[in-house]
Amino acid sequence: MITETKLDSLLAHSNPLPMAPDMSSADKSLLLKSICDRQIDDTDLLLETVKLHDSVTVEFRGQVAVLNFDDGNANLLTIPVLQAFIQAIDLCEADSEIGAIAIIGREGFFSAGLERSIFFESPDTVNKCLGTLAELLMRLYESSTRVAVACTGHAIAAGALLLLAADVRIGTTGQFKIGMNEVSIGITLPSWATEFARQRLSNRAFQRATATGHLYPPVEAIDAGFVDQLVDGDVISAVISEAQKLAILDPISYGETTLSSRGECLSNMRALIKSSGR
Amino acid sequence: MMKKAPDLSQSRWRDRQERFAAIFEAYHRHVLTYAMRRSISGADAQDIAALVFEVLWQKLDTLSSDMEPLPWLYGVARCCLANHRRRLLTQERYRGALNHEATLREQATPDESGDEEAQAIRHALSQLAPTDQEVLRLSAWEELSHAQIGSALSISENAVSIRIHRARKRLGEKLGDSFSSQET
Repeated sequence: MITETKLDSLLAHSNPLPMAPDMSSADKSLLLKSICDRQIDDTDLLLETVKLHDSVTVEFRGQVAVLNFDDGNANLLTIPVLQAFIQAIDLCEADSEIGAIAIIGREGFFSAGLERSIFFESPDTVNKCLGTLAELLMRLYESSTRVAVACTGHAIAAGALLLLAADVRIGTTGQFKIGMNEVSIGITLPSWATEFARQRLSNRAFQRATATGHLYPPVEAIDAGFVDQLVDGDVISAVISEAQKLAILDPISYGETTLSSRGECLSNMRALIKSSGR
Repeated sequence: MMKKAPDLSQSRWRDRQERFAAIFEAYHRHVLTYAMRRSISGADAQDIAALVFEVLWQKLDTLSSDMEPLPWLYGVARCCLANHRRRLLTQERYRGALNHEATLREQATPDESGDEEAQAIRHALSQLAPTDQEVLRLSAWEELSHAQIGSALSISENAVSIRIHRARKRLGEKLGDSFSSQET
């Protein structure tokens, strides 16, 4: 094995450029003047934004990608919206600078879940939608990119499942409902979703939350396991700040630890999807 | 080792512009070098260095007077480089490139300067995780202390020590026996 001293010396030797050539005084003065002539405003010069869908945009802020989800209504999850979320994960995972993604809903609605009309479509369409939802949840749960969520209001059905896929969930106080109400409206929860909920919800809440479709107010949703904490004020800033902390975690330690803590659940989900066909 | 940093604390300067000019004069070349060492072409590196100082001009009043400017500037430069690479990737996508990740790696591949040994080390370095590469580069190329690296990457000094230790170990494994036999 190479000693640390030898490695340090090799690394120093590998430096491709001891120092860049300096600019001429005239060029330097010109550049200095052009910068100082610039008006000071609130423009974020480091912000890059990518629009993935009419209701889904991603802003790159240093090591955090902020996914804003806002359809101007109840933030319903359609197949194109789910695909835009997956595309956002692809972008983050391919980007070595991004350590965390912060998913932010619209004020009052994190998400009301899948678009209800989808269940009146053909079985193939229903299966495609549920398959895309399962893919999104598993991608989030096993991603090397850490995930923080701002639960900005109601989070119902698939909206609540999205909360379960995040490392950190911060909710807001208010008259909101959080939970998986599928059974209460006559829809059977897919077995993979039950398996997923089993890992993330508290044992005490699991049966009530899944089998009875109970919806929780935010303060009770903490105990059930849908959110980790509530903030009274600016939930978006709180989540971005939390995402910044997640972004600087050592990615290898994070990956190895989540593999051991989540791997079995993800394998079970995959097996259930395979056996049920959706 | 890096020469002693000049005193750029706020109280020394009569006005904002003078303080900015002093930081610009002291560190513009360092920031330009940082960008060029990370395989950015000369013209793009100049643009990135200019943008870094535009950000400084905008945020100067929010920086505490006792803060060291250079690690902060490197942190901003890192964000600018990431945005630059994202734009290159977007252009590649429009051109129909199939392997975006390969393009990204290509952009990040160090140039061919230096002897064979230096190139072999840079090749091994480029195979590490990006976070490992950056702590090792900041330490060996930019000659920052662990505290300064922590400031540039927004992590604690202790986390830097652990990451450098692990990154060195992983680099050693990549280099294998080819270099240990030359040890004296």
